[in-house]
Amino acid sequence: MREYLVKRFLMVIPTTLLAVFISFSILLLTPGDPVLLLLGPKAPPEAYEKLRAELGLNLPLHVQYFRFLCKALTGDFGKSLYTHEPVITMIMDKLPKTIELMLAGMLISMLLAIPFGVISAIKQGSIVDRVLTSFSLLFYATPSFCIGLIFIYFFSMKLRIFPVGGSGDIRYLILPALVLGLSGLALPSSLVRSGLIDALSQEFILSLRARGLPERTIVYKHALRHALISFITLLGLNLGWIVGGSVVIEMVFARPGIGTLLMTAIRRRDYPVVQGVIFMLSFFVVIGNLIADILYALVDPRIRYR
Amino acid sequence: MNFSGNILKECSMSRCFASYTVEFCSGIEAKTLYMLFYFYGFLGVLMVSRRILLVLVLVIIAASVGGYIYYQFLMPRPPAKPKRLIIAISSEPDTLDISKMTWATTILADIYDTLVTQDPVTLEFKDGLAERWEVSEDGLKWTFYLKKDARFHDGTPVNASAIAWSLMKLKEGPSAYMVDAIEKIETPDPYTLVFIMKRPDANLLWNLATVYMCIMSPSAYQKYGEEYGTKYAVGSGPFILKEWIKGERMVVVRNPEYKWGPSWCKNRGPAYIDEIVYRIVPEETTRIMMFEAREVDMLLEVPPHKAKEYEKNPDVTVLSGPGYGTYCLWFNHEVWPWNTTDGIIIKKAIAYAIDREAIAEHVFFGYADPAYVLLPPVVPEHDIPEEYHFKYDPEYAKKLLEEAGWIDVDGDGVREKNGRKLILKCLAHDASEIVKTIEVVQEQLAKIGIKIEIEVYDWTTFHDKLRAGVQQMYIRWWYWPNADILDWFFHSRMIPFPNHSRFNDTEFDRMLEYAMKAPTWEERVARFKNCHIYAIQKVVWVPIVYPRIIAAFYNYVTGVKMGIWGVVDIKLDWDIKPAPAL
Repeated sequence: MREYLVKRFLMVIPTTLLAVFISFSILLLTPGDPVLLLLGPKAPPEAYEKLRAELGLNLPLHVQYFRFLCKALTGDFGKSLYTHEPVITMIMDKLPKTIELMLAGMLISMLLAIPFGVISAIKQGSIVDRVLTSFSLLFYATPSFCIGLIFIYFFSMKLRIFPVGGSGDIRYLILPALVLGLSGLALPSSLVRSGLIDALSQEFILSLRARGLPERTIVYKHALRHALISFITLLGLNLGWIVGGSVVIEMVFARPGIGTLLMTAIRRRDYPVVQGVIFMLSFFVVIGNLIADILYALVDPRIRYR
Repeated sequence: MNFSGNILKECSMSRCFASYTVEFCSGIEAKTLYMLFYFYGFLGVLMVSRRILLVLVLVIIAASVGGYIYYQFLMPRPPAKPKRLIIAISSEPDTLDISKMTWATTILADIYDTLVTQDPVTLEFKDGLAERWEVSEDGLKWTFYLKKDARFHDGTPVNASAIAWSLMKLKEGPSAYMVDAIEKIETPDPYTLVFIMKRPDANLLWNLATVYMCIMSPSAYQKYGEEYGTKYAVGSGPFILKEWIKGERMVVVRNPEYKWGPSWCKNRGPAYIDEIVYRIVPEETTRIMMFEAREVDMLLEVPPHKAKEYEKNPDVTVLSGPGYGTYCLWFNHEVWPWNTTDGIIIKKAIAYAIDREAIAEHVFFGYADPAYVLLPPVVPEHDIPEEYHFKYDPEYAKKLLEEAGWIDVDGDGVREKNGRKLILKCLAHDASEIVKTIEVVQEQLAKIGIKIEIEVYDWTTFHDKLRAGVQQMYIRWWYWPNADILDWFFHSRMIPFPNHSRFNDTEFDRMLEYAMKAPTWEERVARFKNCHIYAIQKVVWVPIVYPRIIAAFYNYVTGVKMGIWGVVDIKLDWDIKPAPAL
């Protein structure tokens, strides 16, 4: 188990570095000059060159990358080209809102996925199964910004239950978290469903039934544990999806989180902010996968000894 | 409030009737309640005993008098709710440091004052921080006499040395060209400024009235250092910056000391509104939904199709003013066909083939005006003889092309000459009205045998391509209510940016330089009119429409006016009447 954990931890570093390198390269190769955007079109040509040199943007790509990497490893992502605030400060200011949204979205996803999956598995092939599967697939197939706008229309504008957007108390969190959670419902619920169907067809279930155990106990106490193994794995993988989804949801609901920060920075070609945010988000996804792997190993003893 | 049924059920003889009814009901309801209660009470007690009735009447009278005295004189009043105005905006400024900013936002006029102002209706230059001014005959010396009661938000006086510092600071940043003609600023006394000019600048007052030359507090600038503009901003304006949460909101509160507003404002200070909250909402659809859900009181950027809808809403006021910009087709004069002798003929044909009225009506829902000349109506140089106007005449456009030898030989609908087809690539950025406009133009030009291929990019990439000069043709909107935009976009010294059309004409350069050096405003207008006519003859742009500026707000917001820059940013006359319940 210890070897397994060490190996998993060591994999975090190259995975994060690769993600950062790809995003770094794509950003710098994308058209758009941040210096022009910073100074505007009215500045004299020498001002552009001076600022470009000050920001190190006239250096070769690989030099820029290694400079960034060395600083990033110490937590220094530089300063925003626009506001001159340290990028790490900007990220830490916005991160709690995004984490709040991500956790709420994941919680809703989990809380709905398990009962949906269980009911679908128990009533496999029935109209209930089809309705629940269609429901979760509908939200999966529809773009999350589209769901968000529809929810805003009904719940905020017509029923006036929740505010349209912004941040504040829990009312501002419910609708975006619901959209995020519902958008990510299909995969976990279908995993629970298929895992439970598979578990319920095992011989040990037959023996439990033969012993006269109530069906509820068989399903929730014995079969569901087997189904949750792949569900737990998906939690870690789903984190990546939730991270991406939260970026879009934050824009739709005008939530001031990492997503909005990233979109604004991309539009402005504010390289240090984009690189810092992507580094942070890549790290989340990698850590999420790591946690999923560790939980998987804890839940299933067969994994530890591979 | 359903006072009749519910209140009567709950009323009992032991309650203090007067204060109860006052607490829950308005005046008329209270009187009605009294009448009803007395009537039923009287009837009920009459059936019991006259003595009890007498006692009851005395008790009621005593309670009423006591309740009235309590309500009028003793009951604690709840504090008045602050008058808070919430405005949704699409983006926050990069900085509030005037010497570094590259684009203006309405909040600048809340926090800062300018030396002079421009009356939004008459366009005359009026007082700002300066109450009056004089200019020497040769235009080389301007003397401004300052108001003596103005104070920055940090308590320091707005005096000559503070203003001189703030204006000269602009020489370090993107707005340096606005103060380029100023050699130095002298301060013979604390409330007099003397501008010594390198050359006459007829545009000086116009520049001084813009938010690009707002006056910052030098002491605050030094105190806050690098954080000035990104976290702190101190001016002398009618509002004080209270809070700026990046990506979320900016909040300004009323400056209670302010009383030096311009004379064209009905209220010279302090402002009526206590607090303005700017909610930063990048998504247009979300902004619109917030407005319709009454989470915000005002929208400053209303898409035309929504404006049409809001006009029918009796609770909403839609204000639209003549825009100060133009949607245009531009050409890269260094590439084919614009660098050939046929270039000007093709440009003219394009200019006459566009049905501007149709675009104004169907793309902008009537919230745009057809643009027959290059400069918008808000600038005096717009008014040039009609013979120079580009009117819709597709037959004339076809005739121009045919006479130049552009014929559709193979019948595919596209003209050709010397084996080369008249197919043009047009770049556009991804704003909704821009894309719709160019699609309509594409269809209109197809009717005269010109094929347009459209490529759409985000704004930053679009700008980058223009700078690189890869474009053949492009559509974009510019906005600036001054004729010196012609110098900005077409003087050859501005190649490759902002003269991204790479227009290089020695005669036009000479005319522009001559106009920029005009000694008086009237002479400047006359010279720029000539430049305007020349630019039309050379077809440097093909104008399409002047989009109108549209704002929408609920009727409880009053005092809002339109000016040449859109909604008048100085909000001294704005007020909020009590908003009706939802």
